[in-house]
This record gives sequence, C-alpha cells and structure tokens, in this order.
Amino acid sequence: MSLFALLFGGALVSPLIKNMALLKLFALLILLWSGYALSQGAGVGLVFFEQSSYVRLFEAVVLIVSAALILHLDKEDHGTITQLLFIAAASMALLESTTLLSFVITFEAVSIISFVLVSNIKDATQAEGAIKMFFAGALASGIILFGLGLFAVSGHDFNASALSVDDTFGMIALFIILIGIFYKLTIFPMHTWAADTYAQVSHTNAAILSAIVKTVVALATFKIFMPFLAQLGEMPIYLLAALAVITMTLGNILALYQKSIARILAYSSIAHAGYMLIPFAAVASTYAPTGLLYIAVAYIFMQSAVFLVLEILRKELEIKTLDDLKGLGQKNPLYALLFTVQLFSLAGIPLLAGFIAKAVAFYAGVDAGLWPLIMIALLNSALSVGYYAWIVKHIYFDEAQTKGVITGRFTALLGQLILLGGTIYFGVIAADIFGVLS
Amino acid sequence: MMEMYLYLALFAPLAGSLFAALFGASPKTLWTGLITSGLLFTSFVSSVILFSYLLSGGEVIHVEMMTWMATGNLYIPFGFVVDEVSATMMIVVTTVSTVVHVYAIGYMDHDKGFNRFFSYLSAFVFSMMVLVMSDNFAGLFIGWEGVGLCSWLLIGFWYHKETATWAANEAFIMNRIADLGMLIGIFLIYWNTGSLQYDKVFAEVPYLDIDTVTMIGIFLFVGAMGKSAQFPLHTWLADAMEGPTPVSALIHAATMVTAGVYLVIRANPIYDLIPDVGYMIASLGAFVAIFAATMALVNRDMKRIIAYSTLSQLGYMFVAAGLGAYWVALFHLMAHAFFKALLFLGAGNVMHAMDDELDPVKMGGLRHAMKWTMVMMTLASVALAGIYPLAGFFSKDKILEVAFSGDHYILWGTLWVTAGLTAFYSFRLIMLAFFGEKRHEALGFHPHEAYKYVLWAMSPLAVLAVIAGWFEHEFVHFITHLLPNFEFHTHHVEMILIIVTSMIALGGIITAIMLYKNGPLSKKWEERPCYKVLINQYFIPQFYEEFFTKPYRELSRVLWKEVDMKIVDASVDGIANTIYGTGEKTRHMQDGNLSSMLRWMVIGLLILLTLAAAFSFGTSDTVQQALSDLGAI
Amino acid sequence: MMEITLNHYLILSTLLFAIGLIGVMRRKNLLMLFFATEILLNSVNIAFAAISHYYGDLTGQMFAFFVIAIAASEVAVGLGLLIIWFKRTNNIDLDAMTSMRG
Repeated sequence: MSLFALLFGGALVSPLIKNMALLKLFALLILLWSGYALSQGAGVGLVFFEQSSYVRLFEAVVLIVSAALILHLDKEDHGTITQLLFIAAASMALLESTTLLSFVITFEAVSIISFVLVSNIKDATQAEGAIKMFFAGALASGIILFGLGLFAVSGHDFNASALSVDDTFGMIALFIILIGIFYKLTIFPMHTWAADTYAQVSHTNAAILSAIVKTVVALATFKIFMPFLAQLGEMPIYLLAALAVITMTLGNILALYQKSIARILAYSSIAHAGYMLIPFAAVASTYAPTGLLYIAVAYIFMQSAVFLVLEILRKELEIKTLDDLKGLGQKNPLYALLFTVQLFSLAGIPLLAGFIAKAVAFYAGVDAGLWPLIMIALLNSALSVGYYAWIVKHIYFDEAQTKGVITGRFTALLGQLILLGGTIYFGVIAADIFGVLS
Repeated sequence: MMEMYLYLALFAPLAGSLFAALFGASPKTLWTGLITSGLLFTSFVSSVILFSYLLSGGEVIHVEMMTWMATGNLYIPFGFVVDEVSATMMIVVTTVSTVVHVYAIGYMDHDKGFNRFFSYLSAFVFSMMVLVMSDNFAGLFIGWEGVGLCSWLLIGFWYHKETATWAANEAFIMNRIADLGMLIGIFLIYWNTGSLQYDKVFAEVPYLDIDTVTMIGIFLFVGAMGKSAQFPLHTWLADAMEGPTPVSALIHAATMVTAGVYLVIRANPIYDLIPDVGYMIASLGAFVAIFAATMALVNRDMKRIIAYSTLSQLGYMFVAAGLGAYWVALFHLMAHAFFKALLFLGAGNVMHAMDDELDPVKMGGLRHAMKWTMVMMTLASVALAGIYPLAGFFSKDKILEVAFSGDHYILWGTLWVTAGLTAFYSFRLIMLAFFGEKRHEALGFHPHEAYKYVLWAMSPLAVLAVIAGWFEHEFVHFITHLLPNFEFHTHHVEMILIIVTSMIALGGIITAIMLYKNGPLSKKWEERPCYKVLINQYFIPQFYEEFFTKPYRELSRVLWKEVDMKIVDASVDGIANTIYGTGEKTRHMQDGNLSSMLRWMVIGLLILLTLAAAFSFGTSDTVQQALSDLGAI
Repeated sequence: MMEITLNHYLILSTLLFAIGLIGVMRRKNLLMLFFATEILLNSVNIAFAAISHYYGDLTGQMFAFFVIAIAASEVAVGLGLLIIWFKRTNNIDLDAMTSMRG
C-alpha cells in the first residue's frame, strides 16, 4: 500500500466523520497503518519519487509527531485533523521527491495546505497572521516559479534526477528557486512574515508550521539541492553562511526583547532556521547530511512540544506573556517540567536532542572549514540560553500569581509525553540517526 | 565485580535524585533526605572500595556502557574509567557530598522546598561523577554542562530573592560562554585526532602540529576558566553565594569549581607539550590568588570572604598544574575540598544562629554560644593558612616549592605574599565572629549552637582537614602511576622555604589577632581609597554591567524598536522608491506592516541575486556566452 | 509584419513579472495585492508555454497547467481569508493590520 495513498485517502475520508473522538481514533489508525506500511518498506510509490533510509527515518518521525499532535487536538480543531493528514501525505511526497519538478509540485502542495490550515480562524489576530503568511507565500511561489521558468529557458530538463548545471543561467535559476524556498525555511531576508505569523495564528497551527513543515522542507530541499550546492563556488557558499549568521543572530537578539512567549518561540524558530542553514553551507563535509537530519529530528520534537504546551497553558490559564508564567512551577509542576525540558533542549543542554543536533551540525561546519560561521553560531547558542533561561526563571523562580491548576485532557498529556520521549531518546541515543548514513 | 561498584558509585546519586524528585512538589518528608543521604553513602563506600582496589595494585577499571554515536569513522561511546585520578576525585566528591547531604537535613529543616533541594543536590553529584569518571571528552562535557545546570538550579533555589535568581543566571550564562571555548577545543581535538577517548587522544597528540596543540590547550583552558571562575570570569562565584550554604560548600568550594583544575590535570599529556601555555595558566593562577585574597581582606560578608578565599586557592592549584606539577595540584585540590567545605558548613551554622546575618562585624563573641562550630572553623582556618601539621601546610608548601623549583621567583613571591594574606583574612573572620565583645546582643540576636547530628556530620571533614596531608608520600606513590612525577630542585633550600612560608602565615595570623582582638577597626578606615577599591571588587562588576550587560540589552532594544521597525523599513522603502523613481513620498510607516515585509523579501531577493551573480557565476563573458547559447540578442 | 519569437514572449513575461513584483510592493489594498500575485504567477505561465513550444517539449505546457492549478487554489484560499478579514474589520487596507507591534 502506498504511504501517500494511505494518508491522502485518510485525509479525504476524515471530513465525513463528525464525532471528534472517532475522528481522532481514525486519524491515529491511519497514522499507525502508515507507520506499519513504512516499516514494510512502502513509500509514495510513484515515478519521480524514491525512498532512502535517510528519508524513511524522517518520515517515521513525522508520523510520530503527527500522532502526538492529533492526540493534543481539541474538539474545536475538527478541520485541523484533515489538514494535518493532508500535510503528512504531502510531506511524504516532498521528502521522497527526486526531481526538481516533483519537488516543486509537492512543495506547492505543502504550501497551499498550510494556507488552508491557517485559514482555520477564530479571531482577527489569527486572520492577520494568516494573511501575512499568505501574501508572503504567494510572492515566494512567484519567485520559485520564475526561477523554474528561467531554468527551463536555459534549456534544462527539470525532470532530470540529478540536479547539476554548469552554465550561469542554470545556476542563477536554481539560486532564485533556493531563495524562494527560504521563505518556508524563514531564512533572512525571507523571514519577515514568520515572527508575526507564528505568534498570531493558533499555537497548534504554529507548531505544525514551524516544526513539521519547516523541517520537512529543509530536508527535502537539502536532498534535491545537494548536487547543486556542492558545485557552488566559494563565494556563494560564503553568502549562504552569511545568511545563516544573520538569520540566527537576528532571531536570537530579537527574541531577547519580547514579552510574549509566543513571540519568543517564534524568534527562536527563526534562529533555529539559521542553524539549519549551516549544513547547507557546509555541504562539503560528509557530516552535513547527518547534521541536518539530526537538527531536523531534534527540532521537530522540541519546537512542536513548546508550542503545544503553550497552547494548553493559554487555553486553561490564559497565559500569554512572561509575567503570566510566574509561579507555574509551583501550581502545575508537570506542565512546567514538560515546558522546561523542551526549552532546555532548544537551548542545547546535553543529553537532550537539541544538544547533539547542534553539535553535529556545527561540527559539519568545522569539517567544511567554516570556522568563523561556527564561532558565531556557538556564540549565538550561548547567548540564546539567556532568553530560554529567562522563561524558565519565570516558571520556577518567581512568586506564584494566583492561578488555577491545569486539568488537562489525558490524550494531550500523552501527546506531550511522546514528544518528550523523542527529545530525550534522540538526546541520549544518537546511533539511530548516525546509522542511516553509514 | 569491580564494574558493579563503578556503576553503583555512579548511579546511586541519580537514583536518589529521581526518588526525591517524585516528592518534589509535596511538603517536607524527612525520608527523602535520609534516603538520598543513604544512597550517597553507598556511592561513597563504592568509591572507597574502588580506591582501595587501585591502591592495592589493581588494574584500571574501564567500562563501555553503550555506543553513543557511530557512523563511518565516527565512534563515540559512553564509557567510564576509574584510574588513579578519577578515583581520587570520586573520593573527594562523595565524601564532601555525603557530609553535605546529612548536614543539609538539618540546615534545610524549615525550608518548604526540602524535597526539591535534595533532588537537585543529588542530581548535581551525579553530574559531577559523570564529569570525573567519563573516559572521553564528550562525557566530560555532558557532566560539565550538567553541573552547570544543577548549580543554576541550586543558586537560584531561593527564588523569592531577586539577587539569587540574578546570580543564578549570571553564573549560568558566564559558564555557557566559557563552555563554548571548551567545545571548540573538543571540536579541534576530534578534528585532528579523530577520537575523543582520552587514551587515543593522548596517544595521538604528540604527533600533532605544535600550533594545533597550543590552540587545543588554550580553548580547553577557556572552559576551565569559566568553571573555576578565573579572572576575568570570576564575578559569578562571589554572587553565587546567594544560594543555600550547603550548596556553597559542595559546589562552590569542593567540587564543581575544581572541575577546571581537574580538566587541566586530566589533559596533562596535552599541556606537557605546551609549557608556554602552562606558564600562562600559572601566571593567571598566581594573579588570581593575590587578586582574590586582597578582595577577601575587607569584605563584610562571611560567605563572600570564603568564596574569595576559594578563588585564591584555585589560583594556587592552577599555578601547580600550569607548571607541570599535576599531582601537587590534585593534592591541594583534595586537601582544600575538605577544609573549605568545613569552613562553609561552619559559616552555615553561624548564619542559622544569627538569622541569616552574614556581616561578621555584627557578630562577635559567638564562641560562648557556639563552641564546637568555633573549634571546627578555627581548625579549618588554620589548615587554610597552611600551619603545620594540618592539611593545607603540606599541599600549599608543595606548590610554593614547585614555583621556586622552576626558578619562577615572581610567581613564588606572589604566592608567598598571598599565603600571608590568606592567614590574615581567615583569622580576621574568626576573630570578628567568635571573639571580642558580643556586639550581636545589642542588635537583638540570640545565637544558638547547631543540632548535634549536624556537628557530628561535619566532624569527618574536621578530621580530614587535620590529617589529609600526612599521607603525602603514599599519595605521591599512588598517583604517579598515572600522572608524571615532578622533579623538585629545591632539596637544598627545602627547610628554609618551609620556615619562610610558615613565618609569613604565622605573621598573618598574629597580625589579625592583634588587630581585631577588640572588635572591628575604626570607621575611618573605610574612607580610604584602597578600601573603596577593594570593597567594590576593583569595580569589575560595575564595569561588566556598564560595558557588556547594558549595551547588549540596549542592542536588543534598539534592533527591535529602531532598526527593525524604522530604519530598515524606511531604507527598504527608500530603495523601492528609487527603483520606481516615482519620488512620491511613502506613507507613514506602520509597524509590522505587511507591505514592508513584502518589500523586504523582494529587495532581499534582488540584492542576493546581484551578490550571487557578481561573486560567482562568473564574468560578463559567461553571461554573454549564456545569452548567445539561447540564440538570443 | 514582424515575426513573434521566443524573445518577445520572454520579454512580455519578464515585464509582467516586474509589474507583479512592483504591485506586491506598492499596493495597500489587499485585493489589489492579491491581483498582483496572480500576475506574478501568470507571467511565469506565459514563459512556460512559450518555452515549451520553442523546444517542442510538452513538459512546459504541462507545468503551465500545474501553475494554473496553484493559482486557482491560491485564489480559493486567499479570497476566503480576505472575506474573513473583511467581515471582522470592515476594511481591506493592509495598514490596518498592526495588532502586533507598537
């Protein structure tokens, strides 16, 4: 059974089920079935799509995180399940795409489903976030297609399996496409929409956008563009490194000044996009693919987890700003702990996935000889501890405000535990990820 | 069989921490304190068994628990090793932490976070054990970050104190910055040797380029500077005294702060190759020794005085380690751990008795109420001052001999003066707190002696502070299986050196006793400029605040408020305007405006494309070529 | 009469793309902004169709259909969003979207 057909079919059938509990069960069963099919070696199974062990591991991770998200979802999020299944299906296809054509088509599919996802609107702020993302996305689509047109003009076949060009036009065309894709990866200067959108749309949607979509696109892009990146001369590589530096520095410095937790997490997400760009620049190193895979796996777990916890906190306790967080540790130790562990993982504390992910990605940079980039990246990750620790300080070290106790549904907690498990598992056992490339 | 003891020593504290964490949120239960202490004692016994096994000539115990990362030529296992150095460190860590755990049952008696405290404390011990027992740099780094994290939790433990949370964050962030240096060092090691295992790395290092080794040595030492609070990263240690006193005794005297020294000792094959870096370390150490000692002279906060003294003694250790006398550094580390922890715990008793008052000027005459605390603290101070036959005498004298032996007379002189200062400030504290008039009575304090079992818990440290130095020869014999022996060239002047050093120590003590026997000095003293400089810690914290913290905060604010929202928008608009050439004035810029976001994206695209085209994709020739390829133009 | 070559199509396409870009940057009315993005996508379509014809290869034309599909779905989603926004705020001026900063 094709992985894509399963998820896509599930997504199509899902609106027919009106009962939320049944729908969740159905979606989980679909994901479980997909997981089983994946373990049996099923892929998308179409021409121009191909699976490798590298991709398979990440597909499994996406399925797991999707399951956690579905467990988290609430009654009102009826449509989100359908869209999540669509996104999962499109993600599988995107990850497995082997030619520029199949890549762009699936990329646009992911893009459009993301628009549908955020148009699930409850108030004007969310609408604002959605519109910002939509127009930025439409512009990015235009840029990507323009690049593709240029690519075609210069006489290249965008159905060829290995993306290698040797003429200037082709190079420039691919570079334009790459810049268009940076929109989804929130790389400077295409990051402008991200902070507002992540902070404005519902936190669940922000989790899907900033965790699942971003990592899937990063990985698929790297896979497709690797031959092209490897061909780039010194200066374009430096340009990529400079973009990485600017993105992470901008994200980290701006995060420091925010009062709203969602905005801190949004800027932290931009900063992480900068870290994710390091393996792109360090493509010369044999560690680059591992570094990107690791950072994607770690990031998908921790970033979705922090946004989902924040959603629970917002829904039950009206927590939005840092001040609202005060004393959470005393009243709700469990959720405080869940939040703290994931934040520490984002900060890169050892024995959590975020640490090895950064270490490997940074080492890839060292291996490729990009010392200045790595120096700045390290400095960035040290300074970023400032605002992560600042959040945790509010959770534990501040006097409690009068505040209720989270009753929390069991399934949402289960989703959190799955994500926590991922963060810890990949923080302690690195062999799985290193194994796929050896 | 021995492997079992190794795992027991390592994981018993973790078990204790997890157990206490289960009850972390509930009110005080005595059991958590007892069980964590019991598990710590188990760890201590296991460490003693391992130590004596090695002492009786057993093989080094090396276990590989699991593979952590493996791919192609990358192979990093989680492994642990018990050799002479790690066994010594294990003894130090488990001894002090067992004592501190038992002590804390009494000290934290009335605290609401009793269970939480023991959970953190045991987690700290576990991280410290990982740090010293790991057989590779990756494990060392994990423990290194772990102790940093636990120390952050423990310094900020009394979160209702604003200063405490500030100090916790300061320590954490400063350490993280220093850890970067260490991480770069570790990267360099892996890059050049292809391994992180100590034995493989040290076997490989001699074949490396000397410049590379120098870089590795310097970067590793940057990490050590952070943990061991060496200048200029020293400010966090004094501020960390905001944490509960048992924490200060365990973390900021005996264990975590010595991790930097441990690192240099552990990496001795690296530092042996680069004596210049070693000399730099020694010089910095000597500077910190005297620098911290001068700040301790005038301070009016009991715990800060002891903290500066710790800094100063860490300086001594780095002098020894830097000059290649690794075993001497380890010896002083061990002796210092015992008497300094004792001193801190004594200070904790005084704090309790005085309702958390820390100013020794407000005390006086406490010897009547707190006889045993007075005896133990005096003992610890004598040991710290380096008076025969207590522990400090043997270890500190050896360091001075090391400096003299290498003809480093300036270092020796500095340390010699510092020895006098050390004796002086130690006894200034003792005299002000325990002798003279009962100044506290006027202020309404009613001091009382600590619980009996607390005093009993402290007694092993008191005994060790006295006798630890007597086993010098046995220790040398044991430790030089692993560490290089140090050639002393001072046999002809050995007695003279000992006498000269003891003289200045005694001189310091006598001066302190004479000056302070009638209580504090007159207020006039505080008007002098040199007093002002010292009490303000040479104005370094203010300097950091002015030149690092504030500008960084300001940068973030400016980037947010001014650059991101105004200048960038305006300039992007300007560029856009130029491109259209309309000359029409842009409308008033709205913040967070979608329009300016889209402009950013378009202008960014154009700039990037121009850069990319200009940089790489070649000269105009190739563009011409491309165009003619198309059959165009 | 002048023959229309590939170049003419490409120049038209580029001009339209530039018009689209400028529209995206300049327009303050969300609906007009929306049209601008449509122009962006359709300018690419012209190029694809022309290139496809020039090389005698159908992939380009196939891709043009695909772009039309993308544009259509964007219209569907985007208009939906705009309608929601208008219902909430009675305004389709993008300067009204300022709830985040300040």
